[in-house]
Amino acid sequence: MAQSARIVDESLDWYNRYARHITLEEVGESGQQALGDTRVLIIGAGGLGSPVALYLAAAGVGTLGLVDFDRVSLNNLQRQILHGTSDVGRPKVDSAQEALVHINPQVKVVTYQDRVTPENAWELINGYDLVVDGSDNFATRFLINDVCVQAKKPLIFGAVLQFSGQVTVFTPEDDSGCYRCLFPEAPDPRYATTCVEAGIFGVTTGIIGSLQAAEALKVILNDSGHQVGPTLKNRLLMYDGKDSSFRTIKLSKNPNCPVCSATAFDFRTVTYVDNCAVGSPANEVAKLA
Amino acid sequence: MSVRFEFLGPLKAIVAGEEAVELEAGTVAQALEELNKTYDGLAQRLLEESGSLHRHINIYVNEEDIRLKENLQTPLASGDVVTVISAIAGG
Repeated sequence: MAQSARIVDESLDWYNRYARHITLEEVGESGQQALGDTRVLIIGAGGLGSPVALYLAAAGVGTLGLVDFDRVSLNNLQRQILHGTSDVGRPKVDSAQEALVHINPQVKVVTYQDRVTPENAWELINGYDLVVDGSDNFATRFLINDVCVQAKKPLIFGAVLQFSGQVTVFTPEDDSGCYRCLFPEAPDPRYATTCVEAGIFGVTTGIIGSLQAAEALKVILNDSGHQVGPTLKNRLLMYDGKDSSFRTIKLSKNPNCPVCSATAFDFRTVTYVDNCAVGSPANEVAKLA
Repeated sequence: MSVRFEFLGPLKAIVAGEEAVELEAGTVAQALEELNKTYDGLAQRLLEESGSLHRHINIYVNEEDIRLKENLQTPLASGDVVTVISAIAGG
């Protein structure tokens, strides 16, 4: 009797928590259930990963995987809203998990205090339905892209610098192109400006991360038969915070892309080199063998 | 009529923050050469020493990536819109 009462309470909690989603014709009960049945891997619990994780947890995505090797620093707090002042020095994934469970205890949060490397990327990414890239260097971004293409996992790409941001969606399952179709290789380290060097207007990460979260939810809902609307697949959305403008550029699959157009690509044949010239792990290059 | 060049995001600084720059040129390469006369350092920001496009820079003519066309020799016609963007990786 007590057990059945608890089940009723939990069910009421579920309806109440997601009532504004369930009311939406494009989501409904089945859409909300689809979100709850989905596993999303968020790479980076920093500026982009913070709003992504917060919104996906609040939205009721069933399992969130969080990958970040780093610990919270005071200079993170201007934009990394998963963490607070008392978290300085703690592993980011720990403070993130605490914040997310506080927002929504119905969400399972799995943490990995680690870097994404060629050695662990395949296992990490294959354990999830969708990947959100909130990393902060080119080598990791190319690795994530390459593994997602090979594993046929949707990838929600987002990146920021100073007042600018970029967002797009790659869905290897329907052969829509990949990050290497957009930028074939990482910049020469001489030209790879990082946020450490160039700065980042904090709220830019909030805007771009929120857009990534929206695209992730739309991909999940669209793929489960809930037609919310077209995602940013085949389009790069660019934000300029200086003049508060958005632009989109049409993206095309490169028929000669060495990754998504290759007949036998294997990310294990690629060298993802730390070629840092200034002592920051953010300056890395990824070279195709 | 002329061609309209738009530099987006951090690249806008190359053209002193201008929303767009209009000029006349027959190819993308000619246009960049012309722009470099006005905006010091533009060629260095966009091109390798060999003269090819930096691998983290993309140029679109009417939303078509010039790498999928004739690269820097892609012809320009009056009224074309050329958009220049850069890869960024911050998170």
